[in-house]
Amino acid sequence: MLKESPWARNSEATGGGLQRQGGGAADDHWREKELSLEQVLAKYPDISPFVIVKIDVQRRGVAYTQAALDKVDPDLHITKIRSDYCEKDDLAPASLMLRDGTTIFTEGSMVDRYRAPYVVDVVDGRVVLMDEGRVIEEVEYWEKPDYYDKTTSRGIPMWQVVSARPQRLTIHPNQFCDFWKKKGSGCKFCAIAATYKSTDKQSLLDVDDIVETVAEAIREPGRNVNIFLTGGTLLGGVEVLEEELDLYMKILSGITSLFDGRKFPSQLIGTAFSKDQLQRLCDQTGLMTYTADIEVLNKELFEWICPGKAAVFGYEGWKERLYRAVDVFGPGNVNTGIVGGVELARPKGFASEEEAVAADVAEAEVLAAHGISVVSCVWRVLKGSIFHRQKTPSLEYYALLAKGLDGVRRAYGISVDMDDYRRCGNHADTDLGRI
Amino acid sequence: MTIELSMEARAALGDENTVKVLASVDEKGVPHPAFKNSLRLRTDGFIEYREYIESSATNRNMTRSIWFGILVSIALLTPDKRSFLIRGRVARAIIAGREFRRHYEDVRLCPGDFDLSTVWLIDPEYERENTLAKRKAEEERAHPLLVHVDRLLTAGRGH
Repeated sequence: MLKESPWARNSEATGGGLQRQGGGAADDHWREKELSLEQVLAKYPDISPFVIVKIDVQRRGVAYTQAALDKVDPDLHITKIRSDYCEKDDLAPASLMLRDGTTIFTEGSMVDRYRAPYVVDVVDGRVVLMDEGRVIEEVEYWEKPDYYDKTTSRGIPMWQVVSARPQRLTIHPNQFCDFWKKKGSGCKFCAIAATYKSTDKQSLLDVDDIVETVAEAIREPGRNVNIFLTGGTLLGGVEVLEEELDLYMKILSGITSLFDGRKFPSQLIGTAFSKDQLQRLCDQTGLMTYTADIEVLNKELFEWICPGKAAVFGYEGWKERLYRAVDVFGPGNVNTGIVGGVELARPKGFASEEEAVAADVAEAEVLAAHGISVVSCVWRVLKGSIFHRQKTPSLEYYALLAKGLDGVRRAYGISVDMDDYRRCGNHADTDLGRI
Repeated sequence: MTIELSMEARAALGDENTVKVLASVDEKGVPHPAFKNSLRLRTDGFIEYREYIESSATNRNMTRSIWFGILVSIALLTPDKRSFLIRGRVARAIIAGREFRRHYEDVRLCPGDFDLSTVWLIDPEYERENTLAKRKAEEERAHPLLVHVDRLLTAGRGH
């Protein structure tokens, strides 16, 4: 890892459909303002260097040289993605994998506005990550599942119905979100509305298309270890969220029938359902684990950053619903996600990264005491989000956050199985749970 | 590859009747030896083995090894009682994709309804034959002082 390479050379990225995210001005001096990858690796030798590299690549993004793009085989690699926050049909690789099995989510060529991206290049026939002309690590492109180029009986391309990670099927049944229907209610880091409006796609996927695609996908030997659902909030119904619950129940019931009514490795990231709603999900479908993303671990910041969620459920109300979810699904089978770094957003966020990490870990302990794990994602400032001019934290912040959340999970004996490096792969903190 | 294994070690790895042990270390440095009969030499010079249990001690130790550059050891005992030691660096974890699928399908054909977690690749860096007779001869040549003197009285007398 990070050794000087005899074949290191300067490399000029072509971009490969490079998308700069966010709206701030690029900062030519960003490297002088934060610890480098090498410095973070040296300062924290007990944190996996692969996970630190993953974090930094997701934070800064990637650009591809033409040689790297020439290594993409559209028959072999995933290039097309349709999800609730990503729409991509160019020929850049969907994302990357390191040689220890750690996944890196690049989703095409999104790069940070303020910092230079890593470059994916080819050296001695190998696809590698490079920075400032030095080889950092080998990478592989995600391989495509068998179902990806097939169509449903209604003629819908299956890749548009169910997207794929190396070992997970991902279903986004609602590609819009009710919180974005009311001005000022959408989560400020989220680009679901902008993504939706940039396409002509339907907001709701057809349930039969989903079940048919899953039925085809799960036939592939040794490919999938998890079936995952998430999407935008649907608030409607006699009780709040009944409409969203009904949609997931229909899909999960259809998928459950594929397993002869048995439970199957699965995760639903839904809005914060009531205990009664969760009991129905648990009793009437094969769903095994449940997540309701609280997004930020601070009441005041939750109310500022997630005004729609705050208005309907409240910060403490969201937590209370998570606690009740543990009653239904059991400890270790419920978690909540945060967008790591949004708690530092200006002007209302924490003043320092140290303060932010300490507060996050303290609040994660409160949740862990109830059997709930907190998992974090790297915040990438997305074009079309309200926070599109914000600047994300340093690599050191993310390394410490991952270590802190992993430590809380260990201290409270909470399993990482439901959201680990294989079943999800988007959380540096759960990657650390591999050892 | 860092080194090319000897013909004898290659043959030992290729013999399905060879007893194969993989020793990794945990977070406290405690060795964890485990029988891994799937250990084999690949055409590209890496040694591979199939890990069936995701949360096993070996799988965690192998992850720790690839993350932090900790070497692992392989001990081989052939049916004719020759033994070999190989030390290597964990180079890759194959957990998805075409190559993983080939291994997975092979595992599924075997009895026992096993799953497959990871195909680990090890880059051999050091090899030594540890067969006792060979080691004894080496020891006597290299360290003539390290001997009980009474043995010298009976040496060469068909003891």
